[in-house]
Amino acid sequence: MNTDSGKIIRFLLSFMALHVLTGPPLVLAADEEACLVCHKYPGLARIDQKSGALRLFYVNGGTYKNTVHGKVLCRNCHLKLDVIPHVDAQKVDCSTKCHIKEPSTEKEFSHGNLYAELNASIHGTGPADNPKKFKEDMPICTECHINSLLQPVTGVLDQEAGISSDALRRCIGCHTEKAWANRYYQHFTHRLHRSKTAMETVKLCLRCHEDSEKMKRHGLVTTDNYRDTFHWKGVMYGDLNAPDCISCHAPANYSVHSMKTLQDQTSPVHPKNLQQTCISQGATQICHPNAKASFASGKIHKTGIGLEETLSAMVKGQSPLLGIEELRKNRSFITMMSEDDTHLAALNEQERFHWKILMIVKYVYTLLITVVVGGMLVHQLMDFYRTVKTRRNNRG
Amino acid sequence: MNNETTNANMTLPTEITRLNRQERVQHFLTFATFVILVATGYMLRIPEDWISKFGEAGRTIFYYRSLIHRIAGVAMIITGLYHVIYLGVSRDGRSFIKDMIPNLRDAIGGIQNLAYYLGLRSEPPKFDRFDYREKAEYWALVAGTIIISVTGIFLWTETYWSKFILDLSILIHGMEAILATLAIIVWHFYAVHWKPGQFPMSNVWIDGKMSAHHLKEEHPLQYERLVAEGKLAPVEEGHDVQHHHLAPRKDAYRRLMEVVSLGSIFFFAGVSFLLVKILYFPPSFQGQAMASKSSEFESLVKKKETTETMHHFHNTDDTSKLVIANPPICVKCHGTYPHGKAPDIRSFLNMHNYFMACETCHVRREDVTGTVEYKWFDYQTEELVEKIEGDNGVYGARLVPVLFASMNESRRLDQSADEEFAKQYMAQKDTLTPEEQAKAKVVLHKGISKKPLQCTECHSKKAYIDLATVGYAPARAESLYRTEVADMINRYMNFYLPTMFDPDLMKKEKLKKLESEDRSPD
Repeated sequence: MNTDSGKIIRFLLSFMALHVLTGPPLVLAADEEACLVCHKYPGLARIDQKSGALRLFYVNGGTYKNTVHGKVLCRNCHLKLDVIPHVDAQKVDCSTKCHIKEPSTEKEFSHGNLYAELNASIHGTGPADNPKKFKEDMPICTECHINSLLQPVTGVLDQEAGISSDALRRCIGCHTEKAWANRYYQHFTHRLHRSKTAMETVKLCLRCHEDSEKMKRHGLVTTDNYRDTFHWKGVMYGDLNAPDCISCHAPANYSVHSMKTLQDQTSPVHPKNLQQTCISQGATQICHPNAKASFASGKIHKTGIGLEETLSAMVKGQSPLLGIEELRKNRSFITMMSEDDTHLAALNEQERFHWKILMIVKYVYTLLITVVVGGMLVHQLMDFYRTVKTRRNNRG
Repeated sequence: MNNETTNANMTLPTEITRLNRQERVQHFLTFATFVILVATGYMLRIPEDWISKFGEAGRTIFYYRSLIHRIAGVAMIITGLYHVIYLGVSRDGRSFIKDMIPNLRDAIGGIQNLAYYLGLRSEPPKFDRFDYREKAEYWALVAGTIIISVTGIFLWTETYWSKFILDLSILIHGMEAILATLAIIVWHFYAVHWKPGQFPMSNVWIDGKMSAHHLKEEHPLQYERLVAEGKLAPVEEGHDVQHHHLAPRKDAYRRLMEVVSLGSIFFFAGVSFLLVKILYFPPSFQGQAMASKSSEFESLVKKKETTETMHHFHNTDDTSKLVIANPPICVKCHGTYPHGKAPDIRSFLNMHNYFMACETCHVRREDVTGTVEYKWFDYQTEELVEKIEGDNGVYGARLVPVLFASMNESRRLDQSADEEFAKQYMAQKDTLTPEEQAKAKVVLHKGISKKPLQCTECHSKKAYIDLATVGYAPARAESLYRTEVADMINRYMNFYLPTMFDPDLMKKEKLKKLESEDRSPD
């Protein structure tokens, strides 16, 4: 969502709130437990004496009540707050049942199912009795999600930000409580679109996936080379149709919370499913509707060729950093051409052949440009020298 | 020259048509499409910071960029086909391509010309209608157009091709573009704009005309042939070639052109620099993550704070960041979250920091000589604020004790009398021994009271600082010692006032609790 529509939404929400809520202390009305008596102060914070992290206890009540959790009481997530100071407060666990009844089942609501789904996915920490190695690297809910503001849209097709009064008036006929209808409308339409922009999504994923040390621990390579793709250029320019990480790794009909490895048959990026993923049927984005099987083959995340890294390090006069040193070793022309390179080993015969062709073309073209343009430059400099000299002689 | 033709000179043309109308149109179309294609193409390769500057407009720009690039690409291909038809159909075209075919003489001419540049020959070789430079450029353009068109069409019809073909096409399309652009700048622009004698611009592409003098200079074989055939007036010997060719048509126009042409050298030098950077040093994203890892200090101390507030679950807004234009010396040393000792109330104490000077609690009236009054001062201008506005401590001002030593002598207690001393200490801190540091600290803190104000001293009916007097609205002042605190007591069963508001008592209580649970006080 861009900032402008964010502003519009906020305006609409505050406008709505003014209409809907009656009785004077606006903030306290939503704050049933009076937590904001203390937590409304922006300065309520401390530096954690163990980790050095800033612990911010400030909550903007006005903003909070317009968030997706706006109807959830503080104590429903933050358990054991009963004592002030909150010495026994427990760390929030999103899988606990909160005391909101889910209207379709009349059962207590919980994110437990998503939590279980995430835990079974590639991003999960593994079973409790046999956790994965480096499970602390795995994302927890709040690393990707914040308690976002409700971002309603007026329609499914154009997804313009705001509340469609035309749609809302149909609700209010039966659901006479305006505040409830309004809230429900927002609850519903907020989920009809993605609340993070493509740029935000990419940056979010890259927070971990560009960390080469972390990726190495898990036998992965960094995926920041996504930023070498045309996909990223579109995202940079703000093209709504440009795909971010989720567009391919959790497209329509897949869940973000149950991402699988490339090798898993049920992964959208498994070679078997890739064509369908590029076609992106049923998604709001129109990607490559005519994608042929051959189009969906091959490596999308290209690996850098290494020349750049080595050169930059050399030019800057620094000894290549550890990672770059390794890159250089792994991606030098000779090792790339040899069969035992680890990167190449992961590819099949054909991919390896393609890779080598690309490499050779890149090197040959770079050499060609260097020689041709360099030669031209020398030629023109000599021409300039000779022409100036001749003209001077003629004049003199 | 021979005497026979001298009389006829008057009627013979003194210039030739080097590019006819058709050719000029073809050149113009090539020029226009090339510029458009380069501009719209490189928009995908410009630094990311530039792209982010487009902001909201980026989406529209991106849409038109790709549209215009495709239109211009098609126009370029059509121009190429038009040229091919022209070469076959028209008489001029046939002669054009005949003269353009490279031969051994071009190679020899090129070597001889290099020898001339190096001073190994006194005279440049004699060139015909197209010299080796022009032929090389023409055929490079032909090859480049084919390569870039084919790869471009592959990319346009992406879904029909394999990823390998597309990867190869992207690579070649980009590489060819770099080669073409650099070649145009170094080879073509030099030859027709910047070369002495051509500067600021050769007009051939506009009027198609080349003077006999110029022709004799650059294409002597053609000149001699034309003169021998009686189609061109020979140039008189000893004539000032330079002057004749460069005779200014319009002074102001020419001067403007010179400025533009000169400026273009710098512009295109910049463009070349960017292209070379793209070629040899494309943005290396692999390096970014590592660069941020370079210092443990950065990753542990500096980064944490930004991520903590930026991705805070509760949508923390900017108000949580206290902005002080000129922070007092206490804040400079202790920061905006100074309280860390009393575990259960340190956040409450830090919260007061947001709208109070340290000295409001840490300097007791009894410990200073003179009367103390509490005043609000603006965080940005440091001016006296008569009436605070805002809520929840966000007043943009802080409460400061002001000491009146006499009737007309007053001093803000948050502005240390020894500001200089404090600054010197801060500057030299690292060079001082621990003993010296301790000594300095004692001096620095000499004005600070032993026991700071306790919570209940203000949050009570007989408040130490009269909250209504200092500027709180009566209702608010009352709530600070009555309603809110009372409300909390009512709501929580186990709300242990007064320990909460008394650090000393609370510490004792906590120790007792830990002992009873058989835990260490740490």
